[in-house]
Order: sequence, then structure tokens, then C-alpha cells
Amino acid sequence: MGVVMHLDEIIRLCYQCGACTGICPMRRVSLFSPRDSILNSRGGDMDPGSVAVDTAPCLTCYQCAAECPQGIDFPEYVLASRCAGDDSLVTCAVHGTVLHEIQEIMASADKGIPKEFAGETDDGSDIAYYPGCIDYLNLFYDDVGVDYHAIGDASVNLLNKMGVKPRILDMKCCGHDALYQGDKNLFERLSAYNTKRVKNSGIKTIVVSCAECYMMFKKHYELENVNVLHISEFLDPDKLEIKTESDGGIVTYHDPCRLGRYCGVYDAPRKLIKYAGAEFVDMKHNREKAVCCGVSAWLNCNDCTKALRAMRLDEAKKIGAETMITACTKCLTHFNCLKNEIENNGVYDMKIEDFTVFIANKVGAGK
Amino acid sequence: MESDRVPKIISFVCNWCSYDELGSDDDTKVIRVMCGGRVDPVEVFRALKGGADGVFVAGCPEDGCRYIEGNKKMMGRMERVSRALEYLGLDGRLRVIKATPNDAVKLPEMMNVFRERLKKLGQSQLKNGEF
Repeated sequence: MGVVMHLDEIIRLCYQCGACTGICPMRRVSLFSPRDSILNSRGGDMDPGSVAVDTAPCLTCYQCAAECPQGIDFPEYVLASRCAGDDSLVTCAVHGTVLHEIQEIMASADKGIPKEFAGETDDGSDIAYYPGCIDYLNLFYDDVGVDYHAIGDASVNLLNKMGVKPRILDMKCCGHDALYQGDKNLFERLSAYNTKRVKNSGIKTIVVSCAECYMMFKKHYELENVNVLHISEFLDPDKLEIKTESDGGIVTYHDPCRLGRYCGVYDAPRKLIKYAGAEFVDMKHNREKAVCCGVSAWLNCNDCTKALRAMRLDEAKKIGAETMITACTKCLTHFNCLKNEIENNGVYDMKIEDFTVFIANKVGAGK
Repeated sequence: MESDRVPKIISFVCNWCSYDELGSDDDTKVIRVMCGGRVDPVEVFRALKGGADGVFVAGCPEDGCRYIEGNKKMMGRMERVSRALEYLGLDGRLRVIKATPNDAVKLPEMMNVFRERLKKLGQSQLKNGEF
């Protein structure tokens, strides 16, 4: 089978230098070691299921793959072993797998993602906007204190400011969480529907505000002739008339792994934040070296990754940031969750905001 | 579209107010919970995913919860679930009832009303599971 071939290839290439383990953020807080995982599977134990269990703590944040001298894509190896196993990590997802259940229902239901957002839309446009699962997050993660729906409102308003009335297609979840939890069947059902929908609609450009959806459309979908853009790439500062008065103090940007290391979008969001008149300072670990928030695909929300999030917020605190901007709903959720914990009351005195919401507020397109 | 098919219903019923009045049969399964607050959104989604046409949840009215605020939790959770079902195009397939033990005699009738409504909605399209 393809997966075993893939594992085989990786095992052959790896010469156990340990660069991956040296850079792995999980290694700082646990005994997880990518190098060890490869070594273990070398011992003759080639069952992809047991590799999946062994690599369960992996955040698939892509730091190791960026470091590896042999160019081994360790996250791909983890993904392949999770998908070859029997959905073992689905049951490990946080919050009782509620979003996974919704995605499964969505795959067979008529409707998928809600399309009601503030701002003007046009069903004849060849530029589409894809909001992702933000409305579902609003329902089940409201205790985090983030208004996810505002991300969609802000994005549509920003596109309107650019002179574009986007079309919001009847699409379903992009399938990111399903795939990275190892439920390949669900991912295939969702992606088949979405691909068909996009192709039949005749749109030419699809603008995405979520880092994970963006990565999925770029890397795991086959959308020929459709240009996938993150909203930070689509927005043109000259057309937006950003008010360049600085009032929010120091602003920093946390690179989501799906947008940064996976897709190489580093400059576009920074450029817009700087244009917005904010006093921009990067954290110690930025761009390729940005540390993961720890909870990709709703896995591994535990003490270990909490320590990672605390380290990241400490970095932001150290540069005196008053606002931390990110472009991924997972990062937004989990940093806000940590910030709002009772024991952290007053420790992290900063605003953690979504990229589109921040820019929309700066150009007067927010709520 | 109406047919003779009897809708399949999963009902989660609070032990203290409603359980005594409802009974299981072939098409309606009654699951006793010690409090309406015990019903996790995941269970409602799983029931629907598993092929149920509707989900019926009954708990105590405000100020009547044996565990102080379980019923408030139930209402909060079920409100979210019904919003999510609306987004998914499955509105009307969840019925949430607040009943005192005195009202509970009306429950079989309420269940019948719900059953009729589900008949009108037709069979759930999520028929990839088994009841």
C-alpha cells in the first residue's frame, strides 16, 4: 500500500541526526521525539497504526520538516500513518469530538457552512469568499470570548472596500481536522463535494480567511484553474485607505503554522499590519521559527501544549505587545483560552485578535 | 411527503420529571438520564448521525432542578445544538421540553405531536447508520 511505501522511504532516508527532535516544540515539554519514532518503526514494527499511536503528540507544525537535512517531511509521515490506522485519533479530539460529529453530519446533509454575513455579496461574482467553520465555533466555543462570526463580517466588509462583492458558495467544511485526525474517509467525502461545487460554480478566485482552510485548498485539493488566496494576499493596502494613526500600542503577529511554514505566507499579513499604522514588533521566534499554538486539528489540548502556549504568550509579553494578531481560528481560540484562565488573571494583559478583524477595525469596516 | 413510516426517535429523559411517563417501543427509544444537563451535544449529533429522525429531550423547568442548575445547562446546550442543526438544514428534528412532574402526563401527547411533525419532515437524509 502507498502508505507503507511512504514510511519505507522515510525510514531509508533518515540518518538519525536528531535535528528534528532538537527543533520539535513538543520535545521541550514532553518526551516526544520524531527521531525516535522513525527509529522505532525501523525495528521491524511497520504497522502504520502503531506509528500513529507513537506519533500522537505530534502537532504537525512543520518545524522539523523545515530543519531536516534530508528533506524528510515528518508531518506527512505522521499524516500517512494516522490515515492508515483505524481512526484512532478521532476519539482523542477535545470537547467530546463535537465538531467531528458536526462535520460527519455535514458530509451527508444538504447544507454546510452558513452564508449570512454583514456586507454585500453577489451571486454572479467570480471571486468567492470561504468563511470556514466560524459559525459553528461561535456556538461551541463561546466561553473563549472570541466573536468568530466577526471574522466573516470583517472579511466580507474588507472585500467590499476593495470594490469586490464576493460570492459565498454553498460549501462544506474543508476537512482539515478530519484529515489530521486520521479520518481520511470523511475528508474525501467533504473534499469531493467542495471540489465539485467550486468547479461547477465557475469561480476563478477563492479568498480564504482561515489559515487551515487555505492550506487545505492549496495542498490537499485539486482545484485547477482556481486561484486560492489568503485574504492578506488579496487585500491591497492602497485601495483600503487605512487610517494611519497609531493608537493601539505595540502590535505583534503570530504566524500560524498552516499559513507560514506550510504555505510560505509571511510578508503579506505583516505588510498590512504595518500599513494599518500599528507599531509592529516581531516576537523572538517569528516567521519560519514561530512556535505552534499546540492544538492543530483539536488534538493535544493538554498540559504539555499549554506550556507551549504560555511560552508563546510570554514572548509577546516580553516585547510589550498590547495586541497579538493571528490568522488561524485554532491559535485564536487557544491563546484566548489560556489568557482567560483564572490562574492567568491579569498575567497576559493583551488583546489577541484575528487578522481580518484587526484590519477591518483600522479601515472602519468592522462592527 | 407523508408516508406510513413511523419516525425513529431517540429521547433523553430526565429521571425526576419525565421518565415515568414515557416508554420505549420499536421506533422510540427512551434513555433515562439523571438530569437533562447530562445530555451532551455530541449525543444528539450521534443519534441523528446514527439514523434517528428526531431527538426529544425532556428536563425540569427553571428552579425545579434537583441538581440546582442542570436544567439551565441543558437549555444552553440544546439551544446551541438547535442552532447548529438549523445551519445543517436539519431544523425541527430536535424537541426540547421543560416539564414539571405534574405536567409530565402530557408528555406522551407531546411526543405524538413531535412524531407527526417528523412525519411531515420525512425520513432523515443521514441514513448511513443503523437505529
